[in-house]
Amino acid sequence: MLEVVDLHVRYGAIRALQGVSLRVAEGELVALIGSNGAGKTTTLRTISGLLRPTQGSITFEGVDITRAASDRIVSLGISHCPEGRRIFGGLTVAENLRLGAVSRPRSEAAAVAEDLAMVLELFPLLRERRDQAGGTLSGGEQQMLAIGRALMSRPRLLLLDEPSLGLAPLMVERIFATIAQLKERGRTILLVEQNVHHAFDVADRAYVLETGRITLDGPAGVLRSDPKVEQSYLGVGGVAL
Amino acid sequence: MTGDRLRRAGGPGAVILLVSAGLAVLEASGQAFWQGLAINLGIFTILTLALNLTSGFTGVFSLGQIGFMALGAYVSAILTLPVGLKDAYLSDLPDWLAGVHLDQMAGPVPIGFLGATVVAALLVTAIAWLVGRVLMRLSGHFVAVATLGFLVIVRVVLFNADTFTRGSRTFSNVTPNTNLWWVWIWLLVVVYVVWRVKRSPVGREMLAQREDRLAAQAIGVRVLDPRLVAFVIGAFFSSVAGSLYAHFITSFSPTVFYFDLTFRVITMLVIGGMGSVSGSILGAIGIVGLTEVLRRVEDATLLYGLSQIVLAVIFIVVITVRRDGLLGQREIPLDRLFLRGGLRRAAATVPEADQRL
Amino acid sequence: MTEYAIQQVVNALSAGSLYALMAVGLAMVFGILRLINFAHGDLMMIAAYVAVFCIGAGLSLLVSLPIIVGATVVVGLLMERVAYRPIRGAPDVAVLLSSFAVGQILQNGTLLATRLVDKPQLIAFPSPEALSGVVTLGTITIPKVNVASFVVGLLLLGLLTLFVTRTDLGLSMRATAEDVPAARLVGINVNRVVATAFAIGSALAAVAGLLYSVQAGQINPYMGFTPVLKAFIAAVIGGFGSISGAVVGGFVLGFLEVLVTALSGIGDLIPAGSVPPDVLGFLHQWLPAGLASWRDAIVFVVLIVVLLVRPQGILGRRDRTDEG
Repeated sequence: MLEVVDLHVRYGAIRALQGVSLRVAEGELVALIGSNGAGKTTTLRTISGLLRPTQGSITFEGVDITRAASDRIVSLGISHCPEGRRIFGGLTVAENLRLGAVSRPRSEAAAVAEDLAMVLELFPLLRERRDQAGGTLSGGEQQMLAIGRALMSRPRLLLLDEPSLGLAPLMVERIFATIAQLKERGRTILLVEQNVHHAFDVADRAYVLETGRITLDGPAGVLRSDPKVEQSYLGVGGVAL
Repeated sequence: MTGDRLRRAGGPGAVILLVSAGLAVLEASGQAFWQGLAINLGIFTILTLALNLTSGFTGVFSLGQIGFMALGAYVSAILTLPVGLKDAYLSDLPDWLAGVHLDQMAGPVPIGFLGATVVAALLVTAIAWLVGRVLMRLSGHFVAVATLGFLVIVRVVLFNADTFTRGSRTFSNVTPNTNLWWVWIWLLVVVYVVWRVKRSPVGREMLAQREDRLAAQAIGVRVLDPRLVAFVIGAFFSSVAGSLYAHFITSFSPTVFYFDLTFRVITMLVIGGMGSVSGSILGAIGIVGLTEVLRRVEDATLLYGLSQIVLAVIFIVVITVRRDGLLGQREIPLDRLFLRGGLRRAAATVPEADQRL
Repeated sequence: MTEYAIQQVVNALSAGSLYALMAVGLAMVFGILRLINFAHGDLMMIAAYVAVFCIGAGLSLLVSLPIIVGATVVVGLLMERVAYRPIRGAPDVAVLLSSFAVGQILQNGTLLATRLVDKPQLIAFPSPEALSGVVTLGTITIPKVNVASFVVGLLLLGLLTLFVTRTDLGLSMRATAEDVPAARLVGINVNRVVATAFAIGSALAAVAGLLYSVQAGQINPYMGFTPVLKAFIAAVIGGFGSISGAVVGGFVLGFLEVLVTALSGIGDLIPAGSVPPDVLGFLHQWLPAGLASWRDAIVFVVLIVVLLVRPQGILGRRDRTDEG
C-alpha cells in the first residue's frame, strides 16, 4: 500500500534521513521505533508532504506522491496525526473534527456524518466536550481529538506520531487500547512510538531507525527478542533510552 | 610586523588618496552638477552606513532613522542661522536660543557649522538613547513598526513646533555650508567608525545576536547592549547626515524627511548587503546613480513616479532572488586590492574575508 | 453639550468601523503568514481611483460597487501571487520591507496612470448621491456617510463572523492562523486559504476606501499610508492576528482619536461660570485647542506602550513558541 524507497531528507546541512526504505501493506500495523533524533518524525512528515526529500520516492497505492502537496496527499487517503497533537486550540472540538474532513467533497456529506458518529462512539468524551475550545482539553483528551480529527478524512493509511507522549499511564493504556481497536477494524497504521513495549504489543511488524537509516526490521515478535533491541530500546540489561 | 601593517594600511591609504585627488579635480572643474551628485552620494552613503550599523549588523530593523536625520537637520539649521535672520524668520524663539548663532568662520572653514553639526548630533544621540532603551526590547517586525511610529511622532512634532521649525512652512535661508570636502571627510569618519565597530567585540556580538538571538543569549552574548550601541551610533551619524543635507539643500520642510527617503536608504542597504560596509557604499553608489538616470528619464518623458517603481521592483527582485544583497556580510578586502594579483585576487578572496569575521 | 457628545460618539463609531474593516484585512493575513502587509492601505487607494473612474463614467453606485470591489480584489490577489508568495518563509523584516516596495509600486503606478490620462494628482472625490448630505435626528445632524460607514462596517463584520465560524473555508482560515503545519496535515490547501484572506481583506479595504474617500472629499495616490498605519495600530491594540481583536482595536482606536479631537479646546466649549475657574484653567492648559494636531503622535505613543506592556493586545494570546 505504502512504499518508501531510499528516502533522503536534509535540514540545511544536517542529513536527517539517509536512505530510508519501508513498506506498509493493507491492514497492517507497522511500528517505526528509534531514539530521539533518529528521524522518525521526519519520515512521517516527508510522507505527508510537509518536507521535501532530496532523493528517493514515496508511492501510495501505486500513485507517486513524492512531491505531492500535503492537501492532495490527504485526499488520496493518508492522514497524519502529528506529534504533540497539534489540535486547533482556539477552535471547538466540533470544529476541529469538522476540519478533519475538510479535504472531502460536499457530496460525501452523508459519509462524513457517519464518520463523525463513529469517532464520537470511539471517544464518547469528545461528544460531551463538543462545544468546548480544543485548548481547554486535558492532554489525553487532546490526543483523542487529534486521532479523531485524523480519522475524519476516512484515511486508508493513518500515520500516528508519538500518541502516548506526555500522557499519564492510565491514559497511555486507553490510547493503545484505541489503537488496537482501530487495527481490529482493519485500519492500516504506521505508528511512531518511543514507548516500545506498547508499540510491540499492537504492531505486526516494526522498523528500527538509527541516525537516519533503517538498521533492523521484522515481525514485532521477533524484534522484541532481538538482543540489540532489548538492550537499546526495551531497557533490558541497561538504561532505557 | 610593522611592514605588514604598513602594507595593509597601504590599500585604504591609496583609496583615500585617489578619492581626494578625484574630489580636488571635481572641485577645480567647477562642474556644479557632478559636485552636487558627489555630495548627494556622500550623504546617502553616510545614511546607508548608519542604517547598516543600526539594522544590518543587529537585524533590528529601524524605520525611524530618517526621524533622527530630520532632527539633526532642523537643530543644526536653527543653530547656524545668523542672529539677524533668526529675528526676522523665527521671531518667537525663546531668548536662550535666539542669541545663539554658530556661523563663525576660522578662515575659510565654517567652524560654527562643525559645532552645530556636533551639538545637534549629540542631542539626537541623547534622544536615541532614551528611545532605544525602550524600543530595543522589541523584536522582529514590531521594532520596525515601533520605530516607524517614532518617525511619525517626529513628523508631528516638527509640524507642531512651529516656534522652532516654522511648522509646515518651508524652512529656508539655511547657510550653504556643506561642500564636497565636508561631506567626504565626514564620510571617511563614518566608514572608519563603522568598520572598527564591525571588527570590535561589541560588533561581533551584534552580528552574533542577529544570526540567532536565543543561541547568542545562551552563550552569554548581551542582546540589549550591542543593539542599543548600534542604534545610538547610527542615530548620531544620521543626524550628521541631516545637518549636511540641510546645509546643502538650504530649504526644506518636514515632508522631506519621511517615508520616501526612508525607503530609498533601506533599498541601498539591502541591495548592498546587510552587515557589509563596502556593500553599503556600493549600494549607495548604485542607487544614487540609478536615481539620477531615472530622474532624467522622468524629466524627459514626464512619467513621474517611474523611478520609485523601478527601485521598488529592484528591491523585490533582490529580496526574492538574492536575499543577502550583493555582498551579504562580506567585504571587499581593500588591504589586498593593490597587492600582486590586484582585483582578480581580491574577488577570489571574498569568501575568505567572510570567514575571518 | 449632549448633542456634541452624541455627534462625537457617532464620529467615533464611524471612524472605528473603517479602522476595523482595514485592521481585519491586515490581521487575517498576519495571522496566517506573519506578514504585515503595508500595501494593504494602497488597496483603499486603488478602490478610490476605480470609484472615480466608475462614477465619472456615469455608473450608479449599485453598478459601480461590484466593479470597485472586484478590481481591488484582483489587485490584492496579484500582489499576493507576484510579490509575497515567492518570498514566503523569508525573515519577517524582509517581507515587511517588500510590502513597502509593493506599496511604492501601487502608489507610483497610480500616479503614472493619472498622468497618462492627464489628471492631476489630487482629485476631488465625486460623492455618490446616496452618501451625500446629512441625517437629522431632532437637533442632531450627522453626515450620512458617517452613518453609512458604521452600518456598512457592522454589516460586513457580521458577514465575516458568519464566514469564519460557519464555513469550511472560514474554519480553515482560523485553523491555518493557529498552526500552519497542522492545517496542512488535515488537508487544508494553505495557498487557497491565503488567497482567500487576501481576497476578503481587499474587498473590505475597497469598501473602506470608498467610504473614507467620501468622508475626505478628495483622493491622491498616497492616501493609503496613514490609514494603514492606523489599522495596524488597531490590530496591535486588539491582539495582532486575531480577527475579533482587530475589530475591537479598530473601535478602541476610533474612540481614542475622537476623544483626543473632542477634548482639544474643550475648555472653550464650556460656558464660563458653570465649572470652577480652576477646572477651566486646568482644561485650557492641558487640553488646548491645538491638541488635535498632535493626534497621530498620541496614537503612536499608545501603540508603543501597548507593544511594550501587552504585546499580545487586548484579546490576543501569547504567540506559540514551538513552530515544530
